[in-house]
Amino acid sequence: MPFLMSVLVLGCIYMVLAAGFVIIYKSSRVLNFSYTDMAVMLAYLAFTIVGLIPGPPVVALLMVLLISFFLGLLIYWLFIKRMAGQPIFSIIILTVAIGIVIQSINTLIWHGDTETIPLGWRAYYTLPGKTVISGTDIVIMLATLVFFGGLLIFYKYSKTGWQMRATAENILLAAQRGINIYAVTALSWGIGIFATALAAILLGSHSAVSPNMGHIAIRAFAVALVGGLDSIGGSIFAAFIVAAAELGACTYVNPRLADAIPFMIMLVVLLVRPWGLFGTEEEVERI
Amino acid sequence: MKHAGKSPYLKTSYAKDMVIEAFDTPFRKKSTVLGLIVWGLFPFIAGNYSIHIVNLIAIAAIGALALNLLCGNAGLLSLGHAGFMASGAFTTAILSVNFGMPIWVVLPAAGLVGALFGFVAGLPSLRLKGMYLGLSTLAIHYVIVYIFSEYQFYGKFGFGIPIKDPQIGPLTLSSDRTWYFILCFLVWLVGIFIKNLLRSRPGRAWVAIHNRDIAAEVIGIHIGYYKVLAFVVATSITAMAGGLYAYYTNVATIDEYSFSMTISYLAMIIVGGMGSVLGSLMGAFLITSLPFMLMYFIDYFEITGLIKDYFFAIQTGLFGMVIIFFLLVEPLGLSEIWRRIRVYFQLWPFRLRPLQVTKR
Repeated sequence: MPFLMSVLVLGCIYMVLAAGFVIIYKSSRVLNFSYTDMAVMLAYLAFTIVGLIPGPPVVALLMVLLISFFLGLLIYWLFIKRMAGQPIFSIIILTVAIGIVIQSINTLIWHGDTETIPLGWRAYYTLPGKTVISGTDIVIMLATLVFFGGLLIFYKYSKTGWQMRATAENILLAAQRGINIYAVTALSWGIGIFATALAAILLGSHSAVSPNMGHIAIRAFAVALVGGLDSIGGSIFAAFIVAAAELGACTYVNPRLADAIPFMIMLVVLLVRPWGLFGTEEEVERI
Repeated sequence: MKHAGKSPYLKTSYAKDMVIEAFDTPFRKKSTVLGLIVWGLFPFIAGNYSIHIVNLIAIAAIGALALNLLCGNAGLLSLGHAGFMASGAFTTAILSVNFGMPIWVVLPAAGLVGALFGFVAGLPSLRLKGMYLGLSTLAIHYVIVYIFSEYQFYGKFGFGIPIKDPQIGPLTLSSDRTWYFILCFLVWLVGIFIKNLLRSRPGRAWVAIHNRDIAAEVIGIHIGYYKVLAFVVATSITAMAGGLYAYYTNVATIDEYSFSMTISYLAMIIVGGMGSVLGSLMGAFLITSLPFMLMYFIDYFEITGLIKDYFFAIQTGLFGMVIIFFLLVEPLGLSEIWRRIRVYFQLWPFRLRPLQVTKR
């Protein structure tokens, strides 16, 4: 039971991380490699702002989420939009480069210290079956639920959500119908970085804020690919698979497998079903 | 045909057109001779430290040439470069330490192991393209790093596996000066090899696949074979570069072959110019010497405090900014700038070129 509980919590974090990635990919077809470093930066930012603003940490954390949204818009307008028409290779390298610039900013400002983000709820509850659940775990699960619920409602029922789905499906036709594809793509970058910030805060309160967070965050690549790069629902399922495999290998086989297991799963999935378990088949260009 | 042979730009036979010439124009003749003299005298004039830097540049150049072959010419994105280098370095370590094999057995063996990993990495390329391929090579990077970190951990090697200086016959490769000549020769060899490879059947097939894979298949190129071949050739050269690096630094440690190493190699080929042999060399020179130049400036101006304490962070940040700058401003890299300068002087006093070379 404790094992299942930790799989659930880790799965939730992976899910949000992968969502940040899939949302951006869906609308702009860019894999955002900068995003592990971005997660580290946003987690440190959350730590600093929580320290600066008195009162309950919720206010400060909401502020961080808002900042991250605008950061996403800024990155899109500054870099990604200019790269339109360049080969996909260059755009990927650009995100890698943005990532390493952010990484060095992190080191310069926060010096690689280890911190935690306090959520202000340090209680432990014992469930039947001797499973201990902490307040942080409950917050993580609730936040994940609220985030995905909000995303679902936004995509399904709002006009902008429709436009975003239309753009993801066929960008040319969407532009033809008068949708401002630049605004929509910028918005998806905003939401994507927002999700990254949320995941970073959850991860930072679950374990610790440190440069090593990037090693955990990078596993969300594997989650996104296993689930299918264009399927948010798929990443929910894949998050649990990856989390279970990783924690299982950690607990029962060898702790140092943790870095490799998600990528081994990803490799197998890429070889068998390149478009992921739930992705669209036409998505992968084939010969 | 009256002026045949007079102008160095006029090629009168196919065989003459195929030769890679360093001596075809008077200017090239002079600069080649001058370059060779400078190259030969350099290790006897410069200090050990500068020779050491040049050696590092040479090893990086071999790796960059291989990566550029894969990414720039064949158009297959690889994010597992550090992993392939690690496979070469650790093969070198295992064979030379545990089995005491000489360098001329170890290096080809390292190439073979690299080719094997490259074959595995290339298999997904039969079905995947672009970023999917990049991610699968990234996955292979993590698998390779895992395997060798286990080896390093269980072998109780701590910070790395120490490797003795290799011997070729009576010659021990220990001093920087000896390495300088060997490494420069190897760079020249690999450069010529790749240049020739690009003009022969595989090279043309790669360019065709890069430009339009469906059209390439229609004209009878076996896409799968050539894609895997590109991986095998590039990774075996990469692994040999990794082996050389392990021999040169006398240690193989897994911490060195992290993802940031891959990034610095990608920076080399982007800054230098994708798909250009000269570009790989220029990129390797700039990116490898950048930290040393930075270090020199810091020492010279006696800068202390934040910049010195977080030197590594500033260095990687600078890499990132250089990559972003080149991607946004000059995507074809230094070799394109060099080409423009050359064309400017060739045409002077005219400004317009008679033939516009189309950009890829």
